[in-house]
Amino acid sequence: MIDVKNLTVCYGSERALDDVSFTIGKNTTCAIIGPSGCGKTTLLYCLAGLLAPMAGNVFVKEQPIQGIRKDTALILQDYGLFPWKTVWKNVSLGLQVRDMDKKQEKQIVGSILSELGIEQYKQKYPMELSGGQKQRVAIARALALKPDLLLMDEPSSALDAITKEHLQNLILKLYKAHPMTIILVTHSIEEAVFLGQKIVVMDEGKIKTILDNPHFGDENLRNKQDFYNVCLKVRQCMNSGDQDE
Amino acid sequence: MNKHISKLKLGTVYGLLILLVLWQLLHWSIQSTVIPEPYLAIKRFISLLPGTLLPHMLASLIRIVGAVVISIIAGVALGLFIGVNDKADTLISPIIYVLYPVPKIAFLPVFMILFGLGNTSKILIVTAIIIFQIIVTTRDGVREIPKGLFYSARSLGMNKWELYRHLIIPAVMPKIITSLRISIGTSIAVLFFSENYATRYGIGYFIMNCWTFVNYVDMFAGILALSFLGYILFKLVDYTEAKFCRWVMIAKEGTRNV
Repeated sequence: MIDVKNLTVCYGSERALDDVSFTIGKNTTCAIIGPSGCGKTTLLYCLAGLLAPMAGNVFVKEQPIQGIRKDTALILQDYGLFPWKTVWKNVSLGLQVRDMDKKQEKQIVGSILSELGIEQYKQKYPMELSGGQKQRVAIARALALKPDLLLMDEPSSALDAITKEHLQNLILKLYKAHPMTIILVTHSIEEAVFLGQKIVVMDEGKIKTILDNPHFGDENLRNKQDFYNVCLKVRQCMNSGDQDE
Repeated sequence: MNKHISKLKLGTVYGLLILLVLWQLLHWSIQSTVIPEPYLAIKRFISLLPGTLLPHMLASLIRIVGAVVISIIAGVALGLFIGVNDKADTLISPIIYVLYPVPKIAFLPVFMILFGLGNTSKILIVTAIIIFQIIVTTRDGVREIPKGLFYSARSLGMNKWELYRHLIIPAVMPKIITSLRISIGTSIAVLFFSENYATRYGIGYFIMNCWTFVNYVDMFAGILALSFLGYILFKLVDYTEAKFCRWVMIAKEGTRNV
């Protein structure tokens, strides 16, 4: 589904991404993890078509990415909701831009809002919602587009611990209900292990390791020893090479 | 919201009462016909309103609305253009910064010679004064839009026009309204000045004419009419804000309740 080949992105003289290559299968999930400034958000923006790489290519369904792709949805770290639009209008915006028939638009938005349990907030403005509710609206807006590729930038970084777990459970549930490829960027090891079928560990613009997570998909994973074993493995990968410091 | 409105109305009544008391005190302490008794002035205002004052107020209103509409259309368009386009900003902003602090009212004679003595020069001098504020606020408003919202809009597949419609214009709208609120006071002052030549209609003319005839009660009725005009325009801006920037009103409510 996604083929990243020798991707390089520079900001001035600094290399944000340095010759990055990996592949992600169709309808699988991938968590990209690494410390701040390791280039993970840059990578996500390249996958979204928002940033043009200096060298290398990103192929989605064998097509090289040139700008924004119709079936890719992106959820930004600060949710990217428009403060002047109600929840309903924020969610319907992507459909409106795609010139969808009004009746169909209404039906899709209505069903997605009820699926995410935020129907009662449809006339509210984003500033009237809590962080968790805003994140649900952002997810609703992305899912309304029926994407085959969903990109998320630190989906739970602004949420408290309990809401964070609820949200991660919700993402897993939605993934099971709507088959699509999900790539999420995170700096939380637990989030990466819970939501990533494949875990890409990055540092300083390069990929350190790619781990496969055989336990992905279990909703009770957090209660099992296996979860902590994978977490430990990811932690060790992230720390490897840092011993000299 | 309703609570807020009733509180606001109560505030207006309170403000008016204090103003009337101060006016009455001033009348008593100065003991001169130049500050007539509020009661007489208000009575005169009411009796002059239908036949005499309304046409003058209407003439002034048309000039102000004309100037505001031109300033908004041209000012917002230019402000958006230089806000979005860095090259245009480098070329145009320095010119605006040099012109902004120049007291444009001093060019009134030039406007009169170039645009005639009629309405055109009156409307254009007001426009020349308030447009700068609108250009600068609009440009700054565009600059302040978080980058994340542009990413968000682009990732939804918006084209250039949709970006303006869904992101840029709604984002700068509250700023435009604020600059309009500030501009209205200025525009009335400038209009008063410009209605002192070559016109027989306009509230500025009426006031100065009454002054020439040493008719201070009528003059104060005119001042009341001018203040009333300002109040109506202010309310109109409030209404526009409530209608088009509901989210800002909710945000204000939120901070008030904290």
